[in-house]
Amino acid sequence: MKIFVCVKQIPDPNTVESKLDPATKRLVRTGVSLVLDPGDETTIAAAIKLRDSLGNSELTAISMGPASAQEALRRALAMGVDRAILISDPALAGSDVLGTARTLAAALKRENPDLIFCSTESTDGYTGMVPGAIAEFLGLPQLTFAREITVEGSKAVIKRVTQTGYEVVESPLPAVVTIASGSFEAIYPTMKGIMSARKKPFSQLSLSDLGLESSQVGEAGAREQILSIGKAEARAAGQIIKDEGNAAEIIADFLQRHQLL
Amino acid sequence: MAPPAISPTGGWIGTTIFVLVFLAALTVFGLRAGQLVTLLAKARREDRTDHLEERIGDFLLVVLGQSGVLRDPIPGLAHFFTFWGFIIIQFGLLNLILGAFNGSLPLIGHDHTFAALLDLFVLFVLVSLIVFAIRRGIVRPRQLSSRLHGPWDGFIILGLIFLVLLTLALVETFGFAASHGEEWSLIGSWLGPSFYGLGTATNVVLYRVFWWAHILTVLGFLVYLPGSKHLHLMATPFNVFFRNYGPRGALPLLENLEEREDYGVSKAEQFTWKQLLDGYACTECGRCNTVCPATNTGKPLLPKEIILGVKESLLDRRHEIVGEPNLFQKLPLADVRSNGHEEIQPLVGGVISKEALWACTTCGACMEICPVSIEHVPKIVDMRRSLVMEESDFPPEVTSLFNNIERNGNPWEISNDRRAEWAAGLGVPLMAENPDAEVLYWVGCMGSFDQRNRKVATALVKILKAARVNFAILGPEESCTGDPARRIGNEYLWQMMAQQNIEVLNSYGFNTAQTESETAHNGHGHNGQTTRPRTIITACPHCFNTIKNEYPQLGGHYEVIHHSVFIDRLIREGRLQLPAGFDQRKLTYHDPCYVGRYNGVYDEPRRVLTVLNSNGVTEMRRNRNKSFCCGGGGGRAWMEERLGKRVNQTRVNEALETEAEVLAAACPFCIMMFEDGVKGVEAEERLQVEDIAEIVARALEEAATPATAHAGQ
Repeated sequence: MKIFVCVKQIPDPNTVESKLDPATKRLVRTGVSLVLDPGDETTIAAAIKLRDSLGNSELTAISMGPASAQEALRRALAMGVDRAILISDPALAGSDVLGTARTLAAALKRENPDLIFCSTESTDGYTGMVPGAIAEFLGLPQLTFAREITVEGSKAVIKRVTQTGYEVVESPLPAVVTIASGSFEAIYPTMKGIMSARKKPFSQLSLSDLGLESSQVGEAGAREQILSIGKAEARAAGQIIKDEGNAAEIIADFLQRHQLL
Repeated sequence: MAPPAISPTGGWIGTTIFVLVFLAALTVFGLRAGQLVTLLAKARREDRTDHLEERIGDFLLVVLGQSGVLRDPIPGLAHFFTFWGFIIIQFGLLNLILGAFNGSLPLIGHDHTFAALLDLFVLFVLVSLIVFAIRRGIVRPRQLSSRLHGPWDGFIILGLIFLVLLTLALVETFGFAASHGEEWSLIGSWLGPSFYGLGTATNVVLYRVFWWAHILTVLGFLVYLPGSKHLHLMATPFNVFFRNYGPRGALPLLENLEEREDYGVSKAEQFTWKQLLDGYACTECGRCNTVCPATNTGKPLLPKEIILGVKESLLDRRHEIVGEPNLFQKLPLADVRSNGHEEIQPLVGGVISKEALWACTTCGACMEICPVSIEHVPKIVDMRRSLVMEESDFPPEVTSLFNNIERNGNPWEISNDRRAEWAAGLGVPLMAENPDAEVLYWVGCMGSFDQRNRKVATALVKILKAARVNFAILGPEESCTGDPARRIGNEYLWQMMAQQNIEVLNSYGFNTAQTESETAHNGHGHNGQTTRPRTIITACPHCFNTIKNEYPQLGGHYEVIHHSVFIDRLIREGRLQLPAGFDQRKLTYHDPCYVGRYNGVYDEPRRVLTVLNSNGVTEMRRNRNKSFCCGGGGGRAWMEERLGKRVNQTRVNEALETEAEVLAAACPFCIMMFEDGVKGVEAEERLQVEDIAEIVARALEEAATPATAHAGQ
């Protein structure tokens, strides 16, 4: 089986304070430490687990981004992914959801994938729309919020996380699957992984390789417009209830007021 | 070479039989021992021929002087006499053997003084045997049990030694009786005359019978040896001779990370010959188990079982290692191990459990107490290396530690840019601002980011300022030294961090190797001034140890001093004026493993504390080189403690036993662990945890404002 996993390099969510550029109204991504999206690390773990259980399968990580995104893909290779594709083109700068999905879908289409893994959402933009758009561009069914995935014959079967438990959902292959965050443990690369990552196949594609026009992607092709940006309201301090004999009452009132009782 | 009074074999036929039996026993022994030697020859190379003079000196002291075992006096003395008795009995044996060829040892063969000495030692060994038997059979200390050789090996050995003594005494008795005193011996002269009544002919027969019994017992012993714990008798002298003379705190470097086939040890034969020799040398005394903080708090780690596990696995795999078994190999080693599981288990996760490996705090108490110089910790780390770098198999909480060290240069999800924030407003220059600083204060991650240990860093700054030390810190240019990564088994990450830090330190001219070569070239170094050695100080024993003892492996040679030693030096040079005895609280001091055991610093912190405290230092039950780890070393500070009692609480309880009000330490990890431990045993009201720097800084404040009441009053 040909399995793909879409990944993204983002400003390190653990240490980089997110800043928005007031001119472009976009996240500042230069001059900060960049990492493979931690959410993608767990999605990769899910994909590797499936590949290993299926046997005779190849797992490819695919990413759209500037040249620096190579690092994120190297990490994916070190974790155990077999092959990497980076789509990098100056014209892609400023791509919105549509442009990103169009580009990834075009690259995926050339590969005839059986299964495409995505994280539910990225840890920087959080739109959560790219996987759906990829499925749409490729005309494939999409399975969402998977916490477990197996392949039975020509079907993908997942356990889909719900508020109260899970649903078992299946779809024919090929399909796009999004992994619910926290469902898998990220893989820390072994030395063999790190060393072999340097030798694994790594291809770089430009827009023309994909047969896309620069007007369809990037700033030029963006349909999404950011109208304004603003600061989130600081979280108000919590209320400390000191027990002077009536704490239970105050708490009960509080819960009732918020319709939690 | 005077002939014996009576020929023990009774002629050439007997002597021929003796020679055949002797050669047969020697052959079987040779085949068995030969396999053990072959296994060592097939192991990895390691050079242990440095420091030859010290090796010879220590060999005499530890092997001939028995200084290692004598640290535990009762079994130690018993062993001392058994060891020397064994050597002297060898001469007696040789004399008896020569008798078969109508000869005797030159000079001592018929010497009454030697004969008397021999028998005195027979009696000493007999008493020692009684001591051993009582200890093994009645007292039965837990650490003596052997999983590898089973419960009987120890008794079989004691039995064999007893038989050797008994048969020797009988040989002497009947030799005396048969020769009417011509074959003189002390025991013979006591017991022999009572048997005159049997008649000379009978006595000669009995003499020959017991001569054979003695010879056969000794040969049986020889054949039994290689498969027993008593192999130590042959391996220990070598093990002591080839012990590690490098810095104790340095783990071996894993070379050529880029081109290696394996990373660490998952199979016994991946150890070096010296690491394997440890297994042969192990006497199974179990002293290591008695001091191990993991063993003592109910973790599945017993250091002795690590050593024996490696030995078991090596012997299990001997056919894989040496090649196809032939008849000779099959025969003689069948009973090498007796715990009888059929299938060969893997070394890691089979013979030795992963939980045992992860329980180690690398405190080094096992290596400190081992009388035969066995190196437990490097083996544990070697196996952790395989788990981490080959299998990516480690406690899950360690993943974020590795990622954070790699990405942020510190163990947390904090940008390293904020590393100097603790010093804001304290007037601490960065190296970049004060590149000629004499002293670099290496703050470490704990001092930089941990709230509790920032107080220690602040206190140390006060001290440095009071002593007018020209110092600076690196701020964001400093990164985690990599110590926790290395001890958890991530050698790759340690090397990455070490190289990065070495580059920074070298750029400021701290590398002594570099400044020496510069000085050698032109006599001038930095800024055209004559270079003087510049010092790095740190309050973190883990940073201290790895920079001092391990960075040289990658070319970084620095003069690094632990802050307790530096403060002591400042006091002695008169640069710090401290009010003597200002603190009247009862105080105890905990020796951090990487200051004490690994780097031999015991006196300086005590000296500082004794100046300051009117009561001096009240010692805990386990102190100095026997100090009991706080539980935070070896990366344990970053792992959950899921099994057994808490190590930190165990140590805090020991501090409470002294009724001290202050538990002084000199390590940020100890401080963190003890703060937790004090809360855990609910002793916040009774016991304060303080770094030595905090106590000194308070004394300085006291000196500045002499009117204030004494601290703690």
